[in-house]
Amino acid sequence: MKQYIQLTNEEIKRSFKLYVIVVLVMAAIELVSVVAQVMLHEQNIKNFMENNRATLSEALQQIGKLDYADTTSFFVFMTLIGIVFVVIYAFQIWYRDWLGETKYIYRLLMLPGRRYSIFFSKLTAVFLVMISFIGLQWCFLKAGSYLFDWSIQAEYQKSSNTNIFSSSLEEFYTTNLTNMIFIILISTMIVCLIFLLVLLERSHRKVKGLIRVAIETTIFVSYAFVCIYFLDQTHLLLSSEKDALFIGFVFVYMIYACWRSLRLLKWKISV
Amino acid sequence: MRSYKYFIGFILISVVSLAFYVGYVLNLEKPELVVETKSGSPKQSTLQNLQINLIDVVRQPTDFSVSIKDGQVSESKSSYLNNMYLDRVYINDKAPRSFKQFMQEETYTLMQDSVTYGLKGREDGSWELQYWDLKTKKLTTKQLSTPSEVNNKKYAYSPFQRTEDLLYVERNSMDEQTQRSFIYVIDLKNNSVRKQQLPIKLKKNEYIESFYKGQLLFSQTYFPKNNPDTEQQRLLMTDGKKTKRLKQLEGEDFNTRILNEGKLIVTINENDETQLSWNTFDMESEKYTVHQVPLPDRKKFPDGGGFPVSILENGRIYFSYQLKNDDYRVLVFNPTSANIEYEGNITNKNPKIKLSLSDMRLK
Repeated sequence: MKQYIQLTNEEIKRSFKLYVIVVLVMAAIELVSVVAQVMLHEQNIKNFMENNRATLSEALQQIGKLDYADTTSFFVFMTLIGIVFVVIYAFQIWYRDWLGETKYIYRLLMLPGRRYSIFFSKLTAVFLVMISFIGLQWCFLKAGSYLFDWSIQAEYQKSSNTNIFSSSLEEFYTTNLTNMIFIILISTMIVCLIFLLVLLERSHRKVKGLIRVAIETTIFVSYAFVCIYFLDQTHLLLSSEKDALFIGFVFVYMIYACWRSLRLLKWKISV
Repeated sequence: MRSYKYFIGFILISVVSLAFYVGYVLNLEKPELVVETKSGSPKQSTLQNLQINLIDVVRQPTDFSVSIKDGQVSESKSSYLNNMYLDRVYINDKAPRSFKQFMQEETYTLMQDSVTYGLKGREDGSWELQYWDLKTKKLTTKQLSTPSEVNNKKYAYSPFQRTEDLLYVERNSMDEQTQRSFIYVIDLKNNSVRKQQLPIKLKKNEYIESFYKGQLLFSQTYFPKNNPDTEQQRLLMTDGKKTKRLKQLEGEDFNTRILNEGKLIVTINENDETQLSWNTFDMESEKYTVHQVPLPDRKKFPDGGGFPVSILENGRIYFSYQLKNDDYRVLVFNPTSANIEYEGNITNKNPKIKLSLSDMRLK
């Protein structure tokens, strides 16, 4: 356990600077975009008034008032970038140990004790990055709404605020916590799949490694297809039972991917 | 401890930031929905199972069901998983498991007067019929042998009306609607199926609305000569000898609904924001009635939203709409006399929560 915590600490430490930079850049772009879009809207109104010799109400009628949902488009892009970052990080956390000048992987593999802690420390690091992105993005969204209220003039703001965020963000941050648990579960399963593919490639290398990766990807796609087809076609199970079984299928794949990865790490990957 | 500072720091960032989100969701304000009866008794038999569903406009997955009988409010949230397997038909939660399983199969369904019917064709040409009565909570299952020409692979057989102990079944082609001259009749007492000739041969553009004591009421779509781009519909009744057009029931915004086991035809217009209007036609006495109920306090939506909801069941019209003060009105009419048997309002005492009318069900 101690070794696992130490290794996790080490993994996070090695990525910490990059993580902080990404989070700060994300926050800066998102928050600045809110103020910028408020200012741009104001400017458009003023330009319309000057060019058409119109009153403020006429300009607002023509251009429309602004609500916070209208200014959150950059949050959507940043959420997508966050997802891409987590996927890249899931690859990078393994490959940096092999591809770096110091060949850090040799030190890891030579460590006394079980190799399980290497795998789970990396999985924990990626998991924590993912969770913190989801949580921080929410905090930035809420901070953005306060910033929006502060920066916009009352008469430019839509009075009936029906949408908190843009629709795609509302699909992500729903008011049903089951949805968030589902997102985290599926994301963790994909990270487990990426880990398995990396370890397969590292175990066999070159053409054989790529063939193994292709086979494993086919297994995953087939498994997903068979599970969804079964759930769609079966009449024996009711909707709530299908939900439970779907989650069960996700867990089964995660356990399989972890089991195979640990076996590869123990038996196939050597110094 | 210092050697774990990145690990602990990261757990703190993750937990604290996610806790903001979880805390927000758990501390969301809820509407305070109260049912206020204006006239009639909410205890009457026609209101025993009536539920009005309101959806939270801002927080989309939350649905509030208000029972008119006792004012109880239940909350339900849909998740991504719920959306993956949409139920083909709505079935009450208390229905037996075997019936729910049956209805998930390739069944053709009919809901009439709180009874849900499901008909499934088997490969050997026989039919399996199951129906569940919401009022008596009774499930009935029947295996029915059918006339020799029945072909469950080629045609879909769907029940469309029950009159007394007879369940009428229409044959539809899987690919294209063809000409039809007969229907099938399931005798629920004797567990038999027979072929019943229709008074006339229906063409492709003609659809059965009701079949009552040898009289066929059907709708016919057509393109008028003065407006060839807009499809319109006329309603016709025939006994085979003479065909009569029921012009009094027709109208651009009128929907045709059938009540009292096919005896009463109701065409209803819900789209007029100032009034609810409907016409009725009794197939037996051939008597028309025309009704208009003014709705002066109905909220007008400039974007065309805020649709009212209605159901015609148990010989009644159940109608619900949003009021100008954002309350919701529930009305229950007798369609022939236009007597209001129940009138009530659902008030949301928490104005911070914006709700909109979703649907109405007899649960």
